[in-house]
Amino acid sequence: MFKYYLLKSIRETQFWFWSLVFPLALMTCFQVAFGNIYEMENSISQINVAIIVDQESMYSENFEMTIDSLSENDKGEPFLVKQDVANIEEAHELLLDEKSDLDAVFVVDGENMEILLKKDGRTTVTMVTKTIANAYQSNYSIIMDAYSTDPSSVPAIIESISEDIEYTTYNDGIYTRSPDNYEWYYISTIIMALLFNVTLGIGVVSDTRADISVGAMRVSVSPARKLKLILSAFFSRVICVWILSGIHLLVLNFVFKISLGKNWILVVLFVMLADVFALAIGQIFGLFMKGSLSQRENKATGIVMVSVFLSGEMVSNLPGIIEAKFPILNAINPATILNMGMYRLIYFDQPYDFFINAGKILVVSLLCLVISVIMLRREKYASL
Amino acid sequence: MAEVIKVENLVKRYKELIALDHFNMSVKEGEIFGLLGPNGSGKSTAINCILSLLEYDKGAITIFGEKMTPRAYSIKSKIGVVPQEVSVFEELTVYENIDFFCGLYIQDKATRKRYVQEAIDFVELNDFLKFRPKKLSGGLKRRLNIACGIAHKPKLIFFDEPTVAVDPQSRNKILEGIETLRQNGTTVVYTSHYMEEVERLADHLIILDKGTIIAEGTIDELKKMIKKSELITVEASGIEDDALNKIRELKNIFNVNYDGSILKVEAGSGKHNVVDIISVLQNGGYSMKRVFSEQPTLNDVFLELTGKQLRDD
Ligand SMILES: Nc1ncnc2c1ncn2[C@@H]1O[C@H](COP(=O)(O)OP(=O)(O)O)[C@@H](O)[C@H]1O
Ligand SMILES: [Mg+2]
Repeated sequence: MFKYYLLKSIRETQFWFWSLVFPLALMTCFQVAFGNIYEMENSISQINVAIIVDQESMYSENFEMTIDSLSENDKGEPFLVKQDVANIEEAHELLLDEKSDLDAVFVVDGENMEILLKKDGRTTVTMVTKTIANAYQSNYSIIMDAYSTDPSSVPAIIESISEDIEYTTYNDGIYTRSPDNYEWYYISTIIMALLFNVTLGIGVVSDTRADISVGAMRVSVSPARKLKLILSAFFSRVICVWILSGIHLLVLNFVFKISLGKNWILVVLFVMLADVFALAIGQIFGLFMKGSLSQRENKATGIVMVSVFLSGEMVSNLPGIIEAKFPILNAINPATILNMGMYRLIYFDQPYDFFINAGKILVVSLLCLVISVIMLRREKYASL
Repeated sequence: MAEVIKVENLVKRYKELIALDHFNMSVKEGEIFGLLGPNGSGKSTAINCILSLLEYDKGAITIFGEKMTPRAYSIKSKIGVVPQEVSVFEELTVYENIDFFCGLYIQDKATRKRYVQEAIDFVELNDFLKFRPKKLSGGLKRRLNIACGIAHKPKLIFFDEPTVAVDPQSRNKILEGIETLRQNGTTVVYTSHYMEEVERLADHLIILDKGTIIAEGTIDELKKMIKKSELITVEASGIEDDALNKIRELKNIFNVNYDGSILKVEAGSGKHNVVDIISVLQNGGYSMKRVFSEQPTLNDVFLELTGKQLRDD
């Protein structure tokens, strides 16, 4: 019987369009539009900074330690690279020079700090360096306290502060992606494609609810066990969406030459999980929405489009704006969560909060699946 | 004969609407049981309640002597259903659909293969095995719907208006098929709003109107329930009142109508009605062109009991 469920899922033509043809077409458009620029600029993963100290102090010393600890990374490539710059004149020169890769210079004078930025530099750099300066400023008194009480604890404190900075920088840096990160478009297109799988989740519901589909009515009067049918309907679609996502990632990597980074195994696992998440959410949509099957599908597709739009698929700095005004929306918008998760995995080598994010998605998926199995198992309806 | 289905005091409401009002039904083994009623009278609702697909407000339903519930798998395995709508999966071909639904009942592959082939032969769909349902004409779709419901050789089959929107040829095939099933000992519950079909097939029947049973019994029993049992038409010109009155006085006659050339007489049940009328006219010296007698139809039964036509189309 599973064979037929698989056949059914594979032959759902709408699904092939939305989940394969449409996203690939979109990515090809991006390629045509951004292809050349993309060659020049590849990723935001590294920011090159330098420190110039006008007057040595405890303040400057500790700041240098903080930057050092940010640019050392035992888990992978650091996101911050420290360069040596002799003096302020050289700094100005390098920041004006298009060919130089120096992004920003911290000028420390006593207990004050100034940031010099590259002309026409990336907005991410502004965000990241400001975050670092602010975080250091606000934690400076803690460091000084530690000096007076227990100087041996200072390195540990600096370590933890720099981890904190790293974490917030990732977040802020990502939310304020500048439009020059073309990869962003490809990644969010893949996320969009897999979110369209909600319609397949609705398919699981329609396969098993006699009050939605006539085929399910026939299934319901048979002695076949409902649970087995629900699982067949579900897993046949899981297989389909995994195959599709596999195609997407392969195309991304080999055709559009966008590397999945060092954590590619986690990327693949993340996408597989996101696929299940989309199916599970789709089942909940299918169960609780009103109307005919196609009405439910259209509504769900609409919701996905809104979610994808808010995550910045078309206007890439939208999540940054949202983060400033309604951070809650970013925190609950599935497309944003998935985009961020994926982006972080690919561009920041540490799978920092990956496990937390993935855990959240897993919990929500499991919850949706349990609810839908319980609701789908009922076999008697108030009306057909 | 054993009782296959017993429904007692079934009440089903859709919000305000009472779709079935204390519905009772008893189906014996091996018979074709007809459920006749106009559109919206509650036939499908009754079947879906019996199948435990619909929740109902009141009533007891037993099939094969056991209480029918959604989890009564042993009962369900002996039942076949041909729903009113063509209930198949659009993504699967004709063969795959039949095999899929048969597979919900029959696990053994070899047996299933044979059963599926027999079902295909039964509905004569051999030429269309690789077609998707969308590509089939209305009549072929109906045949596929039937094949999906009967392939597993159930002991009891429900047909819910299987001939709606079907060409006369396909309809005849379907009715013949159902008769064949009865010959093989299958019990059939058949709903329709076409009285000719029920009259042709059913051993027992119920006439439903607005969720209420208005008559039940065998066809003969139902026809006996109504006063009018025969309509006699005589073509003869110039019959005078004298002769008409004589006819009116005959036993069993209760309605005489004459327009100068055609005489229509409604008579109660009795064997000599035609002979009696003819002899009155012969004695009066009238010459008759044509005489014919029509038996009452289920439509007449419905008309007399409800005051309206069974079919509104
Ligand atoms: N799902 C439903 N919700 C509300 N009313 C319904 C529903 N299904 C049927 N009805 C109503 O119940 C009555 C009986 O319908 P049905 O059993 O389909 O009749 P039939 O099969 O004899 O044509 C009709 O008046 C119909 O409008
Ligand atoms: Mg009906």
